[in-house]
Amino acid sequence: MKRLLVIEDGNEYAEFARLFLTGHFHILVAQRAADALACLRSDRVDVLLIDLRFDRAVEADLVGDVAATAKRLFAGDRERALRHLQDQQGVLILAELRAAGFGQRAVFIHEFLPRRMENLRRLYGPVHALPTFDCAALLRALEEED
Amino acid sequence: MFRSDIRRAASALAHDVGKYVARTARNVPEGGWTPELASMLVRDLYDLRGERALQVFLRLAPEATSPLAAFPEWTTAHDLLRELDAMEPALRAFEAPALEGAARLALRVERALRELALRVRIGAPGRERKGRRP
Repeated sequence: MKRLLVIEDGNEYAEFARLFLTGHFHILVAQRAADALACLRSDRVDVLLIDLRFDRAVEADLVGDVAATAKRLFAGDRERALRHLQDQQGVLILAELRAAGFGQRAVFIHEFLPRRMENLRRLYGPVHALPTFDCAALLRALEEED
Repeated sequence: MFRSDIRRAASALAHDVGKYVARTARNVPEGGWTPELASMLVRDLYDLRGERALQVFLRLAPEATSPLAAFPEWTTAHDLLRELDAMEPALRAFEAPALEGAARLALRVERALRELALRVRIGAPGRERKGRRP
């Protein structure tokens, strides 16, 4: 059975996966980039399901430097920088995983604009996105071969 | 408020409310409600990441202060979420007609919030206040 790594700051994706995808995938779960990397290094993982917004994650668990982001993008405003990193955390985690050599297909449940999607694919290879929790579409996205 | 903050709030509504209220609703086969699925729908609506969906909605886009409240999609979603709030006793009793009705309403909430996020992101005409980019 294929192995799916769910990466999210809560448990909503994992709960959904356990209810709707268990017959198709063995489900693994990570709640931050470090845990995902540890999982990928120790287990076989075939595909990634990643949440985009990690708004419940604390600063210490986030990929990205709040101070540097504040200086670079938000005129020193740390609060807005933190929100930005939380909002984009799923993509930042994917970048970390790719930089560490893990190229598995990644699926987001988020409505990216087409241009953003093209950019994500250009940067990170096999990336797919669905706008909604649609079990049938999600299974297709997870099981397709790139 | 910065325009980017308005886009962020609309995106958060679509993500934190729209996507999750429809998480179960979209995937239940007709006539296929099980206690497990019904419980998950109840969580989607009344214990959504620790809050009721209507509370999350109003926290992210308060009626009194959020520019998003001027959009018709905000009003649609708000009214539907209030309707869903009133259905709580029937849903907690796992009454099948109520579950099916709530699922339909939840999907409409999701649609309204996706439309709102898209409208704000692509800069379609709206009535939001303009802000200076940082």
